[in-house]
Amino acid sequence: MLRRLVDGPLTVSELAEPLPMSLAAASRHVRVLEESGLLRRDVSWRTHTCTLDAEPLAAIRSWIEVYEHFWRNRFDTLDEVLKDRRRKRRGTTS
Amino acid sequence: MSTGPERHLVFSRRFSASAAELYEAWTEPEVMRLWLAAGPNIVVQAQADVRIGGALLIRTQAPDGTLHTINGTYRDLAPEKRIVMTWTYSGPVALICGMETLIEIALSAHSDVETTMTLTQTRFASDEAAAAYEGDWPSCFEKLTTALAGANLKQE
Repeated sequence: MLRRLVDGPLTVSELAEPLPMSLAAASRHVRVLEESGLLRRDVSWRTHTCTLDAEPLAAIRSWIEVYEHFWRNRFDTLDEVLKDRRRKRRGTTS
Repeated sequence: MSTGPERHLVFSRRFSASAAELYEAWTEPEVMRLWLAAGPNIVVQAQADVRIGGALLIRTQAPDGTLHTINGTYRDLAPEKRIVMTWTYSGPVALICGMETLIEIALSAHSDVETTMTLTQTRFASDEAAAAYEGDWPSCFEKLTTALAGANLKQE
């Protein structure tokens, strides 16, 4: 859904059309996206037009990047810590 | 709507340690202090109420005095096997501030001295957004292999 909105705003019916789901199901999906702040819905008469709001998506990439960096480094440190503790334990028991 | 798998951050590494030691690394404040601060930061406070529903708190300090806080709640605990906890960083790095994530640690022992630890982190609120980025996430395994190769070289 979001990919298709990259090309421009679409109505809910247009979004639902190629998908193997009912209009009601598509509408629920749209609501979830709207609540996540990824999609803006403008209502004119009875037509709901959906527009992509890409800004939160850019942030999603970033949170993954932040944590990826964090865990890679933490695992490196943990590896060292565990080896250290093992060495020390061996040192005190033998 | 994307039908692909929801986006996860996954890290897996084989450690020269027992499953019990790795479990302790996440649940014993004394051990948590040794590795859960980023870069030059140090852990100044570590608390773990190790029971389902219990809270964890990690506070780290940067060299300039800035404090970073992580709050979490244990959702599932199976000693030497599995830890599931929420993980919320509450500042000051704005990008991830206040974002509740879920972390699952899975431990798989090969022997008393070799255990694979897999960390899976998901964001709570936005599976939809994560799914939208399917295919765009570079695998971290390649980098991990490089990192491990580097670590092994250092050891020798």
